[in-house]
Amino acid sequence: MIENIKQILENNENVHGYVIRNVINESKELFFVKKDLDMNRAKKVEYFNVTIYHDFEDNGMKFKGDSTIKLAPNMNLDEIAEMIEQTALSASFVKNPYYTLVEKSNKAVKKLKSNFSEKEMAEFLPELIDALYKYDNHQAGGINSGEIFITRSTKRFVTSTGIDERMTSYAAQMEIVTDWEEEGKEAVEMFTVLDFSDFDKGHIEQEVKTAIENTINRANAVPIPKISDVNVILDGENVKEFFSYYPSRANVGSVYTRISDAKIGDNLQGEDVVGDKVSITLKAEIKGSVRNSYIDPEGVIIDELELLDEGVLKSYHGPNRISQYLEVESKGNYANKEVKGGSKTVEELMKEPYLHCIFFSDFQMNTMTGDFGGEIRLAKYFDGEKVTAVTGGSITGNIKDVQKDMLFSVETETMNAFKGPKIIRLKNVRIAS
Amino acid sequence: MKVEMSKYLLNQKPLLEELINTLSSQFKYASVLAVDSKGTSFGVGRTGCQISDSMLTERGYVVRVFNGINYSEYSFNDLNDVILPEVVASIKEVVINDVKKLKDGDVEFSSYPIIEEAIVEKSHFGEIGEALESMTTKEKIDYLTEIQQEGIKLHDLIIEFRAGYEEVHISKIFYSTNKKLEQSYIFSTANIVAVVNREGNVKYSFESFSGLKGVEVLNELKGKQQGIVDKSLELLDAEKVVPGEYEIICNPAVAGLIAHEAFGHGVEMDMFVKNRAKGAEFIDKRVGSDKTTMHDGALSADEVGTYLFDDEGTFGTDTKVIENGILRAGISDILSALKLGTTPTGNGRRESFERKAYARMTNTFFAPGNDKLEEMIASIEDGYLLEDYNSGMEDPKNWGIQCMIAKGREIKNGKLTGKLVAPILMTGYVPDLLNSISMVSDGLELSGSGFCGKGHKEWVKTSTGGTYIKCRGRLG
Repeated sequence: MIENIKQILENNENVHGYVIRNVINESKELFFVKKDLDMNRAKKVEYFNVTIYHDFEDNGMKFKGDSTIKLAPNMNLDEIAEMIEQTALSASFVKNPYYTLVEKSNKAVKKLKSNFSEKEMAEFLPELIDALYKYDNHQAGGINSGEIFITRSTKRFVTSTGIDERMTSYAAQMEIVTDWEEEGKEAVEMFTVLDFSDFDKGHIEQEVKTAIENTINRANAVPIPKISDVNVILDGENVKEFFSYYPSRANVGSVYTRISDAKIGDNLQGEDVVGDKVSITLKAEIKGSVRNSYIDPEGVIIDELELLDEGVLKSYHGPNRISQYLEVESKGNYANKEVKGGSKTVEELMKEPYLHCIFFSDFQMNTMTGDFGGEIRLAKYFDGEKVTAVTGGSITGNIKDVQKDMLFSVETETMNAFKGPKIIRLKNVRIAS
Repeated sequence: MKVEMSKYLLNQKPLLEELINTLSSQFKYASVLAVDSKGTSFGVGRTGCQISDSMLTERGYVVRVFNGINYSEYSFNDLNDVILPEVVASIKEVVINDVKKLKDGDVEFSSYPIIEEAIVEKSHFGEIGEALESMTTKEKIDYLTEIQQEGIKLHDLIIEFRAGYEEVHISKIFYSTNKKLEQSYIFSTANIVAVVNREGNVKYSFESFSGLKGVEVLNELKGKQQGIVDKSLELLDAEKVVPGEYEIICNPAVAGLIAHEAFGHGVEMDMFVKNRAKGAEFIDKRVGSDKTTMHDGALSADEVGTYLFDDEGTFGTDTKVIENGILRAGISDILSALKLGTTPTGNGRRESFERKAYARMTNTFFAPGNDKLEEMIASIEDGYLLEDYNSGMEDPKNWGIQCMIAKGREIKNGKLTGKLVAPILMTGYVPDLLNSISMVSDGLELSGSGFCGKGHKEWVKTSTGGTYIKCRGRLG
């Protein structure tokens, strides 16, 4: 079908460029309540996401408009031709200053590897089920419910500039709800999502074990006491969310709209930093990430990009069109990031009193304003003498108020599209109890 | 004008019947949901403009079959005479072979009864003011460009002003052995966003409009630019709130967020099946003050969550979730209702034909009262009027609240002082908050500009809102 779409695009005089992203997604899905299977599902769908470009002039100025449609095998050729005609017409109204499309590169696109390719997807299901339930052997709680998805995506990327790449990737997801109820105490639950593109049974088992342990801790947690001026420690997914601020500041889209005033060579962390300095590298591949790809959605071949070195902006990143408007080299769109570890060990960072926030209902960093915060579902409070599991309350702050003296652990960990410090320690964070 | 059914789906009817007949001859229950939804999203900003398919655009099928113990599903997006046998073979692979392999692997199955359905044939075609085709693509872009250009010139500190519009035409057919249902309706949304920057201090505000409307929703953007710019500018001087518990008035947007996040998710009855919802223990018990009445349902309002039937072929209803403070009922999909022995409420919704159906909200809101906003402000000694929000998160098991509120206006001795605090994280325990509701204003405002997720996925279109409510809340 892709050849037919190409032919229709190339025969349409209003189409001056195109990108076709063809994907076939096949999945196996299981839904459990307690240890019982509640439903099994499967899926096979195919799409052709087509971006059409139209060049035109107005008052002596050159423009390139674009518009995107989703085509599928359930459409006949007449319908596709009509949709392409309409989309080209739409593109002719999109008055974006002219730019050039990404050209075919001489560089080879690296292939992704996944051990999910070693056998049929369905054959992994028993092992995923085993991993989910290995540590579910308690009376007072454990796995409340779980969802398992495993998807194979067979992709082809074709452009009018000669790019034609094929790739296969895998993505697995496990959504795990753990609960715990002790005599005389309120029942509690925790929510964990694991995304991975490589199968590592031991890692899944450990993640589930930790989730159950955290749920037990939440069940025994006491309300956060009135505390202030105490270090706040973040870990896991919350560290990943916290560090989303800097790549956003370095994105050409933010710079072009002046939401960010970051210039190459600027210290995005500010002057007089007394804590650890932020170093970030964007990566096409991080082992196990479901977002790995060595070619970005516009056709730029990507690998690694040093974004920040000790707080100093080394490069912009982001869409090709906006990069050209800013007259900077188009470095591509990356989905994975790695933040360099810091100067202290986890043990050292935990010597002074702290509030270690382990689970929020939804920790968020507003990358535009730098505001961050969340409601605490589980934290550990160290008052200098003992560690107590606490719950309730919230933290709020702004990265501009904390970036001067934040500290990162030497130890790093990897989770899906992120590799970075195992914990970070922040000052000047407001705690509501 | 009346909305027309997808021609593609109309042409597929004979094939869908053949598919159901084939499956019904072998399995005790079979249904198919066929979807053809077409939406377009338009946006104009400083970086340029964009026209693309809406994320709600989809065309495909999901089949549900009783596998002898419970239900199996298969999603696909190609169906014609030639490949029908191949599709049936794929369905059997899931229903027979996959289930057998799982049983052989000692997986225990949760059993469900057969879905019993009365013989029914029904259609619904929505009504809108102005047809989507009554404006050309160029006219829509030109209109948004004019709004955007007017907005961005309003102040020197504006660094970005965006105007957006999305139109979605939904068409669905549901066939099972006994049911033949079809529906087609249109909704649209429009929004403006103003971003300001003063010496690196970036703030923004947005306003959105929605409804079972055609292009007429665009008219609602006219003349709104100055208001949204002013809202962004005033945030530049906002202070941080001193953490603590305060008397608060929530505007309809914040009240809607509380209704949706704090309580709506907690009465989704698939959560009852999993023993994940505290609400299950509170049916017919007090969860809020006498002033608290809350609805959800496809028929509870005319907004983006309105339809004739849900994605499992159950007719939509209007559920009075809380009546004068007493929790009366939850909202359910059909399988949860079968498990719990309750009547399904028509809340079984899918993100798309590719996804499983869950119990989901539709139009969720606090019912209006008789109080006036001015009286509510006058009654507060030390508190805040909370306006608009950025996000919220549910906690159905423990009834915790997390609402990221855009801003609060300080109230001292019954008067607004002009001082603004932002942003605000409101947290607390749902029954504490609902029991503290002491005043409820008249009027009802709903907004359907956003999407609702379950956990961190399964996005569906919902509307939320309500009235001004006065209560107590923990702010940080």
